[in-house]
Amino acid sequence: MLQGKDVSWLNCTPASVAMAVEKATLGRLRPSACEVRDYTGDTVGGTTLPQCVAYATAHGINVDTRVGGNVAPRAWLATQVQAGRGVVIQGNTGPLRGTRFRSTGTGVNHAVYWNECRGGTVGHPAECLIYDPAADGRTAGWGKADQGPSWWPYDVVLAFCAALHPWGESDPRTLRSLGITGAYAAVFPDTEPHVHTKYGATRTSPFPDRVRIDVAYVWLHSTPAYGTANRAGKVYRNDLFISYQRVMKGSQLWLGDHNGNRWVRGDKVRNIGGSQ
Amino acid sequence: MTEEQIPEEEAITTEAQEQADIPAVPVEGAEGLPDDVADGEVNDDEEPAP
Repeated sequence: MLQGKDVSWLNCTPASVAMAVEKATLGRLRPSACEVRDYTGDTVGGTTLPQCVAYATAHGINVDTRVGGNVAPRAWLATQVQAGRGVVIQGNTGPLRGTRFRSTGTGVNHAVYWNECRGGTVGHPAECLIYDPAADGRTAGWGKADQGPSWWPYDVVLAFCAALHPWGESDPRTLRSLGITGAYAAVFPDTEPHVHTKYGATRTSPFPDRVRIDVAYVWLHSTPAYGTANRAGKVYRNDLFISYQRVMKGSQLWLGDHNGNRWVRGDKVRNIGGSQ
Repeated sequence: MTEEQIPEEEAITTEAQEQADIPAVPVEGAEGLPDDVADGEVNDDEEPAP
């Protein structure tokens, strides 16, 4: 209820933005959909991405809002999520009605939160983890709504986005019918810089530190130690290694990744502490 | 000694992180689209059969 009006079935964008805010801040902020909605001051009907993103912006979160003539290219958008950025996407639930991801009766303009991907290739994942605010598992006359979150095939995500009616549901035009291959989306920042330090390591400076392999090839290791038993693949000259932590073992500097599961010798890279 | 493969998902993440800051190319035909598209009302009505 908002100022005496029940807006619960018109809250998908506030709910999706609320989830994105929580992820982008690693739980430091945990707004409810109502808080986001209340911020918009809109009690009339559905809300828009710019309206709801304003809540995030007001709380210091830098969001890349891609709407109108600035819609997001599909592959670019998928790459954002694969890189660790949560995204709110707008679409229409029409294409979901023939799938197990159905969450509404008729097709309606809708917003969901896209948290991560798996499989596929860069820019074209196999599946996408979607938090649909309407996927609450309820039983309706048309059947049973999906219970989110769910892994949608990427093609379903594309169909959802392409089915958006930009001028409202009463206007028959959709992004697909207009031949527009972009998506309305709000891209949230990668989760605040953090690292899972191991083996006594400390954060790099800058954080993270983007270094390049400076030899023909070098083995990565699963721990900061020599040995064939903990080798974890090769990297080659000029490959990028994003190091988040560093540790000295004896006289040897080791640089480690975000989770401390991949380590490279510091004497085999260049640009330690250099420009990013 | 056989080479271990870096987990596929990590490789995708790493490559995506390298590409993520590359600016997006404008989508053709998107000029004139409205910025403000409101979400509709989630309903449990069922569309009549054609």
